[in-house]
Amino acid sequence: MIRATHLSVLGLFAVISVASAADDAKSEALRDHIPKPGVFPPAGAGIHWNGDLVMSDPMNRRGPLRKSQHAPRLYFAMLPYGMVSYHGAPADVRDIPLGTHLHGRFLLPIKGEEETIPLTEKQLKQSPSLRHSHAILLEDDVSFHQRQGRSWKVLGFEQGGGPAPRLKLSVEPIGPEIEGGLNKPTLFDIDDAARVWQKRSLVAKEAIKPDQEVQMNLTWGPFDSLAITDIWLDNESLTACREIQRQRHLRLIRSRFLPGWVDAVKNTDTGGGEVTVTLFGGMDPTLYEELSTTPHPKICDAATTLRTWSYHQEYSVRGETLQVETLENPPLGSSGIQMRLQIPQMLEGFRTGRIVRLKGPWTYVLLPADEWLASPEVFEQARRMRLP
Amino acid sequence: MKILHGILLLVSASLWLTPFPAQGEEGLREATLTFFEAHCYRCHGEEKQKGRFRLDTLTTDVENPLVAEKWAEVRFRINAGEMPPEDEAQPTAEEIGGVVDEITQKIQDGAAARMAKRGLVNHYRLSRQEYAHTIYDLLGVVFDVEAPGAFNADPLWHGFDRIGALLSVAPSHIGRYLSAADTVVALAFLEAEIPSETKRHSASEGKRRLLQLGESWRFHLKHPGRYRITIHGSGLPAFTGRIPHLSLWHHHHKRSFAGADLMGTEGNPSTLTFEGLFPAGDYDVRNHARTQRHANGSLKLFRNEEIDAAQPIASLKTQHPSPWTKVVDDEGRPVMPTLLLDWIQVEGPILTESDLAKREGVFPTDKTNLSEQRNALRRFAERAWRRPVVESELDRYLRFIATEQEAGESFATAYRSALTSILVSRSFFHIEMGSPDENRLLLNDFELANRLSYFLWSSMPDDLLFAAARRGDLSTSEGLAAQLDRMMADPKIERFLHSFPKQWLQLHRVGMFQPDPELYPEYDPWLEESMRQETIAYFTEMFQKNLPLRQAVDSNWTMLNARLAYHYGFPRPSATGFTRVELLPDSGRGGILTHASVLSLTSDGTRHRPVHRGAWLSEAILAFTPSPPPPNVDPLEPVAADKPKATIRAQLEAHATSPNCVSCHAKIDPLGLAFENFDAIGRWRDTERIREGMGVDPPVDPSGVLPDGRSFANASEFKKLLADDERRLAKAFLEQVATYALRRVMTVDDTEQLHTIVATAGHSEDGVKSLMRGLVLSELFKKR
Repeated sequence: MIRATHLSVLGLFAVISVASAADDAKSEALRDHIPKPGVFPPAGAGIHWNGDLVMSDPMNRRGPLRKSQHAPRLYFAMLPYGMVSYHGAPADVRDIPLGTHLHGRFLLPIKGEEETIPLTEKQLKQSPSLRHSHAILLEDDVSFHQRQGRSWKVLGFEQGGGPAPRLKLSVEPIGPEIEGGLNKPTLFDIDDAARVWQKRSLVAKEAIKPDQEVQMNLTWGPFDSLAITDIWLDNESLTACREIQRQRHLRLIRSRFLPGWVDAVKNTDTGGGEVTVTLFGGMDPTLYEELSTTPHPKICDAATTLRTWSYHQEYSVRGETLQVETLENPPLGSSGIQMRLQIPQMLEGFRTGRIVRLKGPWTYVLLPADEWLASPEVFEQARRMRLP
Repeated sequence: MKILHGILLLVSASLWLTPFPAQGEEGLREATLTFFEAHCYRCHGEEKQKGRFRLDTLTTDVENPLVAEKWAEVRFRINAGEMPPEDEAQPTAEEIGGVVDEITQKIQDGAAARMAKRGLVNHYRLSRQEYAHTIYDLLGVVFDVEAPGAFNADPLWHGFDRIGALLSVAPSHIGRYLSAADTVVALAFLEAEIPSETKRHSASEGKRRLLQLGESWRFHLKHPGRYRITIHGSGLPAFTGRIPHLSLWHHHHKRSFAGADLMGTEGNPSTLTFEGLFPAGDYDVRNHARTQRHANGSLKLFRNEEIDAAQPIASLKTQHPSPWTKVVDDEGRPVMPTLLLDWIQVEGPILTESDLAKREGVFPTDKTNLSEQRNALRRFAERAWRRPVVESELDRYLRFIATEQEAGESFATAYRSALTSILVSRSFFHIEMGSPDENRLLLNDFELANRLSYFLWSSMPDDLLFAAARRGDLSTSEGLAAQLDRMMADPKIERFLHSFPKQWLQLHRVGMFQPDPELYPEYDPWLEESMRQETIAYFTEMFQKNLPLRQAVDSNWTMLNARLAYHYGFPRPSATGFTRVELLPDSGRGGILTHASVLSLTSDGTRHRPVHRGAWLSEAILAFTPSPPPPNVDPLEPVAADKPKATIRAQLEAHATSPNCVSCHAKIDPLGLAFENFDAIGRWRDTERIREGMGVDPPVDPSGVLPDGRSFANASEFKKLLADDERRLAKAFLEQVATYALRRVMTVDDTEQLHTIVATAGHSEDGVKSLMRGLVLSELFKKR
C-alpha cells in the first residue's frame, strides 16, 4: 500500500513535471511566435517591453525605446497591424512625443521582414530579447493602464533627499495587477514641467490632493526614476485630451486610409476581380463605420510600413462593396471586419497576405512627397531601419 | 407592313388625327359602310378614337399616298383578324372578304394617279460610304469620307443610310463635294508620285513591348492608300484561356480597320500581315479591349511598357507594392490577354496595277490635241456619271480648260480642275432615274445598271456592266440574270454582305448605350465588334450557301470567333477568325435572334429591355413597325431597396394597366419576353440580376402567348413558331432588301409585287440568294 501510494505520488509528480515542461514549451513557443503574412498572431504572443521613445521614424512607423540609463535601446518596427494608443485614443507613432514612456507588446519579425531591424550578433548576444523587435501594440501609460482597468490613488507629496533631492508624488495602484505594470505603491518625480489637467484646464500641481483617483503619463527621470509628464485629476480632463487625439487620428487615417491585408483574391481576365480584405484593428469605430457603409471604397497597395505609392488617392482603384462581415472577438491586430470588393483593376500588390489601404467617403488629400514610396529604390531603402 | 409606318414617319406622324373633309367614305358600297358602323365606328368614330385613329372621317381620296396607306392598314387589320377585337361581335368571312376586296380595289384605282404625281426624275444622293467606294472604283483613290471636315454621317431611317428622301443636298454639301473632289483628283494625278516606303518601328534593343488590355503602340500613315502592315510578337492568353486580339485602331475614327487574334507563344512569336485600304492618320496597334483610364484622364494604369526580352513574363511578380496593374497571377500566368510586340512594319502606299488601270486614259498625253482631250473627258465623265454623255455636256468642260489656260494656268492644272468639276456635278453624287422629258415607269438600262451595282456593290457599275447596259442586255431577263450572277460572285459583293445586314438589323445600335463597366466589366470594344461580325458573318454564310430564310431565326449553327465563344461559354473554335460552329440542342442559341448583337442593341447600358426587343423584332424581322408609345408614360423605376426584388417582366406587367397599353403590349411584349434568358449583353442567365431590393435574384420567365393564341415556353419554342411562318418571313425580308436596293420605303403600291416575288421565289427550299434574285428579276426592281 505504501509502495503503491509512493508510486502514485511519483507518477503524479511525473505528470506534473511533464505538464510543467509542456507549459514551459508552450509559453516559449508563444513568446517566440513568428508572425506570418495574412495571419494574426495568437493571444499572448511575444513579450512585454516598456521604455521611453527616444527617436522616431514616423514615415515608417519605427523607433527605439530606452528602458533605463544603461540598457540597450530596443529598436522596433510596428507590425503592419500593430496598434498605437495615445491619451487613450487610437494613434500613430507620429503622434507620440519623444520621451514618452511607452508599454508595448513585441514579437519576432514577420516572415520576410527579418532584416527590417538590423541587429549585430553582439547586440543579440548581450540582449536576446532585442530580437522581439516588431510591435503589435504600443501605448502610453494612461492608455496602457486605463485599458486594463487601472488607475492611481494619490497618497500625497513627498520631498526626496540625498544628492539630488526631488519632489515626489506618492501613489498606489487601483485595480488589478497587470503584466508590465507597477503593481505596488510608487513614488514618481513631479515638478513644474508636469501638466496637471483638471476639467478642461491646466492647473497648478497644488490642485493634486490626497485620495484623488488619477491617471498619469510618465517619462524617464534621473537615477532611473519615472517622472510625471501629465496627470489627469478627473475624467473630464482625460476625455478632452482623448478627444483631441481621436480627432488627430481621424484626420490622419482619412487622408492615409484604413489599412488591412488581403485574405483572398479572385482575378478575372478583364484585369479586375474580387479582393477580400480584413481591416486592421486599433482604429476609431467611426472610420470602420464610414468605410464599411460606403458603396464604392477605393483601394491601393501599401507596404508593411503602411506607406503607399505616390499619389495614393489617384492610383487607388474604385471598388464596389459586395459584402461586409464582422467577426466576434477578433484577434489582437484585427478589427474583425472583412470586406469583399469588386474592382475593375487588379493592382500588383493585390495578392493574399499583402497590405492595402482602403479609402472611405473622405475628402481628396495629397500627401507630402517624402511619405510616398516614389520608386522601387525608395521602397528598398525603407525596408531596413537606418540606425544611428 | 413597315411600309405603312415608313411613309407615316417620313411625312407625317399626325395623320391619325388629320381632319379630312367630312365627305367620309364617299363612293363606298352600302355594305361596307354598314360593316364599319357595326364593327368599327364605336371605337374609331366620333365618340372614341382608340389608337388615335378615326375611320368615319377618313377620305377615299386614294390618289393621296398617305390616304392609300391608311386604307391599306385598315385592310390589313381587318384581314389579319386584329379588328374587330376578339371580344367584340365578329363579322362573317364573306363580310370581311367583301370589305377587303373593296378597299383593295380602291387602293389599286389610285395607283396610276399616285405614280403620275411623282416627279419626272428621281435623284438619290450617294451615301458617304457609297461615295468612297465609287471614288475608289473610279480612280483607285482612297478618300476618307469620315475624316474631320469631310462628310457628315448620313441620316438613318430604321437603320438604312441610303433612303433617297432623307439624303438631301444642302449648300454645305457642295463645298464639301468640291473639297473632296479636289483631294481625289490631286491624289489620282499628283505631279510627283508618292513613293512607296517600308518603315519598321521596333522596341528598344533587347526589349519587347508589353501591352495589356486596351493599351496600344502607335504609328502614323501620312497618306491614305493601300498598305501592307506586318506585326511581329506574341499573344499570351489569360489564365482563363482568353486570347488577345490585336487591332489596328484608327485614332480619330475610333474604330478598327483590321485585326486578328495573335497566337504566338512567348518564346515563339508569330507574324501577322494586314493588307488593305487605310485612310491617313494615327493608328494604334491595340490589345483590343476597353481602355482603362484613370478618372482624371491622364494616368493609364494598365501596363504599356518595354520589358526585358530575356525575362520570362512569369517573373513579373514583384515583391513590392506598386500602383501598376498586375501582370501575372501567383502561378505566373498572365491575368489578362497580353501582347508582347517586337516590331511593326509599314509598307506603302502600294499602287496596284488595277488601281493604275482605272486612271488610264483619263489624262490626255497630248495637251494640244483637242480630240484626245474630248475623248479622255468623255471616258471619265461617262464612268463618273454612270451614263452616256452628250457632246454638248463636254463642250463646257473643254471651254473651261481653254479659258483657264488663257488666264495663265498650266494645262495640267486646268485639266485637273475640269475633272474636279465633273466630280462635283450632281450626276456624280446622285443616282439619277427618269427623264426630264417623259414620265417613265421603267428604268432604262443604264439606270438599271446603277441600281444593280449600288445594290450589290455600293458603287458604280464596272466596265462589263456598262457594256451590258450599252448592248441592251439588261432589258432581257437572261442578260440581267447573267450580270446578277457575275456580280454576286465578285469580291465586291462583300460590301453588300457587310452593309445590308448592318442596316437591315440596325447593328449601328450595338454599343450605342455602352454597358456600365461596373455591371459588365467583361464588355469591351472587341466583344462589341465581334457581336456585329457574328451577325454579318451569319448573313454571309446564309447568302453564300443560299440557306432558307427560316434559318435566319432558327438554326443549329452560328458563326463564332474566340472572343464570342468565350462570351457564350462555348469551346474556342479551332480556326482563327469567324468560323461556322454547330450548336448543341441545349445551347440556347441558333439564329440571329439569339446573337449577342441583337440582344445588346435592344438593351440599354444597364439592363435588357423586353419591349424594345419585341419592337425591334417586329420591325426588323416582321417588317411591321409598332405604334410608338403615347407621350408621358412613366418609366420603370429601379426596385427600391426595401422592396422584394422583381424582374423587369414583373414590373412591366404591373406597369401596363391602362387598356390601351395592354392591347399594344400584348402584341409587342411576347416577342421580346421570349428572350428573357439573355441579359443586356447577350449572355445566358437563369435568374435576373437585380441590384437593389430584398431577397435573392428572381428566376426569369421566357414563356408567352402570341397575339394569335399560340403559346411558347421559351426562346427555342418561340423561334420555331416564327420560322414556321415562312411566307411572312420571306415577305418581310424582301421588303427590307427592296428598301435597300430601291433606296426608298416600300409603299402600298409595292405590296402586290412583293407578294408576287414571294409566291415565285419564297418557297421553303429557296434561300436568301434566291429571294434576292427574285427581286432583281421582278418588275418591281425595274420600276423607277
